[in-house]
Amino acid sequence: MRMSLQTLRVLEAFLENPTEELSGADVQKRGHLASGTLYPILLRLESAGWFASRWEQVDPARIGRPRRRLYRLTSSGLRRASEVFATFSRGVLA
Amino acid sequence: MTSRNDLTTAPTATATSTDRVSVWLIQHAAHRSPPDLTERLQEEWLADLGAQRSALARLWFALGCCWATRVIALDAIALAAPVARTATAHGTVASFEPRTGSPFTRRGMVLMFIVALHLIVLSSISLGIGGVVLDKLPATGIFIDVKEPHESQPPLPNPQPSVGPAVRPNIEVVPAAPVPTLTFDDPEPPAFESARPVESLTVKRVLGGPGASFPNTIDFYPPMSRQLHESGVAAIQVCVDEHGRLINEPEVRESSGFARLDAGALALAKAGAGHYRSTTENGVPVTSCYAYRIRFALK
Repeated sequence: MRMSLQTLRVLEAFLENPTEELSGADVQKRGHLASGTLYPILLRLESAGWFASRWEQVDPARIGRPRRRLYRLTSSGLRRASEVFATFSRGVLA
Repeated sequence: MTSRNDLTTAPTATATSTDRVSVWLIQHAAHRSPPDLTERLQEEWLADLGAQRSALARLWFALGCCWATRVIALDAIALAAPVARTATAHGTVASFEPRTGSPFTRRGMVLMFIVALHLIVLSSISLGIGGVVLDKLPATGIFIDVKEPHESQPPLPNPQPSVGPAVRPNIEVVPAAPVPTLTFDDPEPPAFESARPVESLTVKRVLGGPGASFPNTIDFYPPMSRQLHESGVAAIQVCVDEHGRLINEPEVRESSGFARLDAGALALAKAGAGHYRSTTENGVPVTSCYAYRIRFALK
């Protein structure tokens, strides 16, 4: 997985509360990322197994808006993300 | 999150035009993504679109999604290509694309595209594209063809010599056969006085008269006159400028014998304003006054 600065921002947003599920809009606000950057990263991390996603359990007709896609760190993703940040904190590029 | 997220797949009545554009952009972007992601991305992006704070932010978000589609599509292509994998000492699996030595990497192509776009915009501004476009437009203006009276038309006989260079010569027009008298259901040709022999003039004068689009006499035959079987011929004098416009109030030169018919003739003459043919002298329209007859006749 290519560890760009933007990818690290995405991981950092999830590592603030690893059990929390976030939508793309939530990650965008926390990471200050543009949509053109964010969603490809989310899909890459999901396809690599770092994230898992699901649809929000709501009825769009009742709430009057589309369902959100919620992402969360998987156990392996949490481990890998922690390792990446640990590596960076030691000053070594992966 | 209700009103801000009220941007469903279909634009609402209250959505601004910007929001409509944003929704359209997202739908367009989602449809250009890999087929297995189209529906998901569309719904996901529309849901996140509603979380944006302003119309401009939503538009920026939608534009970003268009870019994201391209990146996602390229990622899908890259996944199909062979990828070298390597393991670091810390067990982190990293993957990268094999270096082929070609400058046309994804980043390189994107960078070249951006640079080319900027060059095009800057060059168009510096060269003045607007001026180039204007230069290529035809330089001719708008010409209005003015149909001159055909020279081969036989000139109407001038019964009396012209008074001189006066602007409003009092010419009594006794039209010859080519100039019909307006009649109502009169199958017989109009009766005209025979033309007097005239002296040859240096000025070729063609008298004007009612034009092709002159109103119909039938529309101005007074209903009461028809009922009372009133018929007759009225001679109306008009002054017409070089554009065929009336420049005075029409006058009755010769009464038809009935006031109602005279009034109908005057009304017809006034209604024909703008539809008169001007008198021409050597083919040049001039202002002149002339009289013409209007016949009201019943079958």
